Amino acid sequence: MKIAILTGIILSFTIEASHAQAISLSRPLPKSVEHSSSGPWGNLDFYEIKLSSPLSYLSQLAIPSEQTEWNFTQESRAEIVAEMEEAGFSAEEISYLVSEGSLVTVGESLKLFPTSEMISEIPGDLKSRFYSFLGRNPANRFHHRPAYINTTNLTRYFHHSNLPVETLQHIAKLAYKTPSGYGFFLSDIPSLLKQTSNSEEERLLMNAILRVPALMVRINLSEMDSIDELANYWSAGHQNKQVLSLFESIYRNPSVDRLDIGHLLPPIARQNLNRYPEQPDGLNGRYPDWFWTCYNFSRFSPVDVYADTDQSRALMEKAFAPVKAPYTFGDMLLFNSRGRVIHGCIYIADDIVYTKNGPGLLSPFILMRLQDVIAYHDLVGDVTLSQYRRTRQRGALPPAAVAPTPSN
Amino acid sequence: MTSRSLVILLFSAWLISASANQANEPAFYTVEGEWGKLQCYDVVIAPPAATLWESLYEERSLWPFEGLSRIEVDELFAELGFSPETIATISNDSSWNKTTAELEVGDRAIEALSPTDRTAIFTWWETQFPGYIDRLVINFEDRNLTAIAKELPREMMDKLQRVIFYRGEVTSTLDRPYLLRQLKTREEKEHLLRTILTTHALIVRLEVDPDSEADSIIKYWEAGGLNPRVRVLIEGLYTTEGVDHLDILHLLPLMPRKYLNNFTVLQDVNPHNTPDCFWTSTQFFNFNTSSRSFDSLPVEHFLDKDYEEISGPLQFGDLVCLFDKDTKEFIHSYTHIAGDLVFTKNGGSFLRPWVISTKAFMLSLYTDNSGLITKIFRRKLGS
Repeated sequence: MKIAILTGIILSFTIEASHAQAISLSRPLPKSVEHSSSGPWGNLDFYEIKLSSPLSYLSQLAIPSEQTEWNFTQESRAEIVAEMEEAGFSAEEISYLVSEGSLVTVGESLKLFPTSEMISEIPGDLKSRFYSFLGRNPANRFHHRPAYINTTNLTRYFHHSNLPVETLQHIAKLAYKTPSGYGFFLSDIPSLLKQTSNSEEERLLMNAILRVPALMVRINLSEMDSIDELANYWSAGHQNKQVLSLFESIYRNPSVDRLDIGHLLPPIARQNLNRYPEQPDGLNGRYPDWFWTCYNFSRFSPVDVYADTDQSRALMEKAFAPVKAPYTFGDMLLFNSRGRVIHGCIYIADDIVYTKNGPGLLSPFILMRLQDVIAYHDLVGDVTLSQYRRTRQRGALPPAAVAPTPSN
Repeated sequence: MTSRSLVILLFSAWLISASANQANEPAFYTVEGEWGKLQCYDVVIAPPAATLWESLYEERSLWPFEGLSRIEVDELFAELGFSPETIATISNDSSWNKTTAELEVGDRAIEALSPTDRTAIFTWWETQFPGYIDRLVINFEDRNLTAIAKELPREMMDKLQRVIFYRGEVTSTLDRPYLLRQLKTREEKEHLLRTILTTHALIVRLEVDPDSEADSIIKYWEAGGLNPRVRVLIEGLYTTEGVDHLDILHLLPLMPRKYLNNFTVLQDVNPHNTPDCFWTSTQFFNFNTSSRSFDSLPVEHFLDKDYEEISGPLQFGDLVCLFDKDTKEFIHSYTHIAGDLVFTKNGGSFLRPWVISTKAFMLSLYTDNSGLITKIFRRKLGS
C-alpha cells in the first residue's frame, strides 16, 4: 500500500457502494463550524476534530489476521439456521451467508472463513442485519463493537488520516448502515488489512479507524440578549454554580464574543474533556466507564463507581431521579436496549452530550451529538432513552460559615 | 450600548454610573511568540457571594496594640509620623478597650489618616501582628483601580481612594469595615465586597495563523513531553475551515484545567492549610492533586529532586519562585504560560481564584519595598 497524503487533494469523483449505500468518497469538503439551534443554552458554534489515541496504546493492539472469521456459539449448522430464522433471516439469505460445508469446527466453536469477495458483495441491508447477529457473540470482536463513521463523506471523515484513496474506496464498499439508520458501521477490518504492506501501514490503518470524532463547542455571546437565562441554564439550578462568577465576568466584557464551553463544565468533566484514560486513571484497578463519567460529572472529586456493580444501582436511586423532557444541562441519559441499560451520557445543550463510549483506554471523554452516541451504541436498532436528574448538590462551593482567611 | 450592558444595568441601580464606561472597553490584545499568537481578553472574577462569610459584613475597625497602654499608643502614632491633628482626631473618634488593648476607631479617625500614615501603621502591624494584617488587608492588582472603578459609584470610589496606601508597587487597604459602614443594604455591601475582592484574569485563545507552523507551536505547548495531549487539538484547529481560535483551556494540563477561574472548595482544604501559590505551581503537571504541600516542609523538599533549576529562557510550565532578597524567605510562586502570561493562585484565600493573568498584575501584589529574587525551576520528565 502506498501512503498517499490526501491533505489538500481535491477528489472530484464520488463512489457509490455496490449495494447503493449512501456512503461516498467525494471531494474533501472542508470541515466547517456548525451552529446549534437557539435555546436556553444560547447559541453554540461547534466543529469536529478527530482524537487519536496515544501511540503507545496503538502499538499494544493485536493486529488481526487479514482472514475474516465469523464465530458462532451454536454447535451445528442446524442450530445456526434456527437462530437466524428466529432473527428474521430468510432461507435464501441464510443459505447465502452460511452455506453448507462452509463451517469449520475449531475447538468447541464453529467458524466460517468468508472470502474477501463475499464480504464485499453482501448487500448493505443484509450486512447490517447479519453483522448485528454476529455481534451478539463477543468472539466476533469487530462486529461486537464495530467502528463508527458518522458521515456519508468518507474523504471528510478520514481527512488527515493519511490513508490512500484505494483504502477509502474499499472502506466505502465495506461500511454498512447502522441499525439506528444514522451513520455507518465498519466491521471488516481484517479485509482492509490486505491492502497494507508493512506493520507501520497496519498501525496507520488502525489509527485511522480508531480515531474518535469529538466536538469542540463554543457559546456565541455576541448574539445574546439575556444573561439571566443563560446563567440559569449553565449553572443547572446552582448545581454548577461555580460558573456564575466567570459568566458574570465574561458578560461584562463585550469584546469576549465566544466562550469555549469547556469553561462551563464542572471541574472533573472539564479536566477530562478530550482526554484518553491514562495509567493513573486505573490505579485503583479499573478505568472509567460511562457510569463513572456520568456519576462524577458534577462532582469535584471523583468516586470510583462502575456500571456493572451493585453500587451503581444504589447510587442511581439515591442521587438521581427520573424526569421528563425537556433535557437540561447535566441530565443523565440512559440508553436502554433489550431490557437493560447499555450506556449513559450527560446532556449538555441542543443535541450535544458529554460521553465516554467505552470502559477502555481507547475511549476518550468527549462531546458528541446525541444522535451519534445513539447510533454508536445501538447495535440492534431498539435503543430508547430515559432521563435522570441529580437530586443532591455536589461539589459545592464553601458555605458562608467558612472561617475567614487571608484575602491575598 | 450592547444588550449585555443592559443586563448588567438590571443587576442593580447602584451600578448605573459604573456601567456607563463600558463603551470604552478595550478589545483583546495579542501575545506572540514560539507559542503562537495568543488573544488575551481581560476579565475580572469576583468571588461568589457564598464565599463571603457572615461576620465580614459586620466587622468593626479594631486596631490592635497588645502590650501598649493608651498613652503609649499615642506615642507610637507620633513615632510613626502622624500629625498632632491626626492624633487628636483619632483620640476624639475612638474608644480604648483596656482589656484587649484595642482601639475601636470611627469613620472620622480613619478618614484623617494620610496614605503615609496608613503605610506606616501597616508596617508596624506587619512586624507586630502579622495575623491581623493577613486577615484584614486587601491588595489591589491595579494601582489605578480601573476595573473596580467601573463597578462602584463615584462616591464609593472616592471613599476607597481615601483609604488606600502604597508599599512599593503594592496598593492596599486595611479599611474594609469602614467602607462597609458607608453602605446600608446587604446587597450594596455584598457588591462592594465582591468588587474590591475581584481578581484580574485573562481568557486566552490560540489564534490560527496560517503563516505559522503548527508543529513548532505544538512543540512549545508539549513542554518537552510534560504535556503530551495537545497535538491533536492544535492540529484540529489548523485543519478546520472557519475555526480561528482555540481556548487555551484545552492546552493546559489536567490540574490547571480543573481549577482555572474557580475558587477553593472544601474538598481541597485541610485543617491547617488551603491551596495556595506553592500548592498550585508544584502540581501544575500532576495527574492528581496532593495535600502534601500543606505540611510544614521547606520548598526544597518539593523542588530538589523533581525539578532542575534553570537560568532560562522560560518554557510552558516552568515553576517560578520569588524569594525575599534579604531574608531569602519564600514569597510567591507561579507557573509560566507564555510571554508575560502566568498561571497563579495569589494566596491561600477562598476569595482568590486560580487564574491566568499577566506577570505585571500578579507581581503588583508582591513587589512591596523589599526586593525579590527570582528562581526558575523546570519539572523533570517522569518525576
